[in-house]
Amino acid sequence: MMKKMPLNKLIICSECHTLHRKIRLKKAQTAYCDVCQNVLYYRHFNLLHKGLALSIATFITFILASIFAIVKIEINGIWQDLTLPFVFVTLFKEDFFVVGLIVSFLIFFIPLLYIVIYTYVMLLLNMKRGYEQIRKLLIVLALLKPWNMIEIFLISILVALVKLVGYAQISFGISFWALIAFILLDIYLTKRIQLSDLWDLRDEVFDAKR
Amino acid sequence: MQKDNYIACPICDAVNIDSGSELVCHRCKHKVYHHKHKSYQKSLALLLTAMILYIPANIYPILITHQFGHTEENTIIGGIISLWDHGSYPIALIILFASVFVPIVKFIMLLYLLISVKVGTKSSSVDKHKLFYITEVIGPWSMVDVFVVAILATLVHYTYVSIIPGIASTAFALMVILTMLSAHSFDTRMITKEKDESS
Repeated sequence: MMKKMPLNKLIICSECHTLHRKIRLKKAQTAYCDVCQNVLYYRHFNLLHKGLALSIATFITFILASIFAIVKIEINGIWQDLTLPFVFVTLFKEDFFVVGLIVSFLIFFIPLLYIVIYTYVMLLLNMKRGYEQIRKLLIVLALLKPWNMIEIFLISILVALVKLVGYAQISFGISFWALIAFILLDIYLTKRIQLSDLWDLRDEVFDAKR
Repeated sequence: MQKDNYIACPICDAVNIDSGSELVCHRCKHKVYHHKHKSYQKSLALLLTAMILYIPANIYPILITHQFGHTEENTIIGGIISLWDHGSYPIALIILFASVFVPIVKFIMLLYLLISVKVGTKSSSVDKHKLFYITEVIGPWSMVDVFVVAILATLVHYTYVSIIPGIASTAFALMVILTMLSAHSFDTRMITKEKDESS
């Protein structure tokens, strides 16, 4: 335990790998790396409750984003919808199994799994239960994190629509706005709240209990 | 303080003291990898496979358009040129950046990092860590083209006009995944280690 204590007070910059000593931040302050000016960590206000509320909201927006039409186009009076799952279903139909599989994971299954696990972890933290389980789930989150490409998918939608301008009439569906809301919340959950904050929160919650 | 002995756990970012042998992170209990040699070869092998896949990704069509019985095949470069001709310059630039610029820059950066670990170069380890960080951040953005093709194929399948993905999309998607895997299996401690040996 003695050996552990000073290690918790240290942090390594994710960008340039410089070692820093952690200091306690005041409200709304942010710690930056003095070598590369990269953000080291934020001071979060009431992370335990905020995290749970935001993750549930993110989960709901994801459901909304994947069941309704994202965009609709019209060519010669016939309307065609684009829904999130249909993007990779079409690839499977065209016999592009490898791409279909890759795309389905990058834009659907990994974001979904990520937010479900995230919400579950926040729930467990709020209930102060499952110390070991949280450890395993946070490892899964860290492994999934780099493969979430939903925000790149949004840019791709815009690029695809620009290609269609002039050929088709385009209108945005409910899911387009839900998708934007999901991406904004998801970026907040994954970039602003770092996974190391959740590890710290886990220590905080369970140390207080003991 | 011996700075180089401290390493961040790749899973939970906790700071650990590198004892030089098998290391298990004190916070997440996940193994902090120590197979320097294996990591190097894995990274190199994945990178070379990705570079080979980039060739068919550019030669074969990525997008096939059937329009009133007439078929048009577009390669990645061809698509960019036709976008440019139609006057959508920002989109052409996005695709150029995502499908041509990003993969090539990633290849060069990773190759440079892998070679510099073996040979030893003048640039500082801080710069190399930054370089590695950039490669990791820009990597996924090359998927844009594959997603665009998938979206177009979903939206446009009418009796007279239809768009179907081409073989290049498979090669390209695999290329992106493999470069990302290559970057992930690259052990960033090799950068610091190399500095140790030279000084």
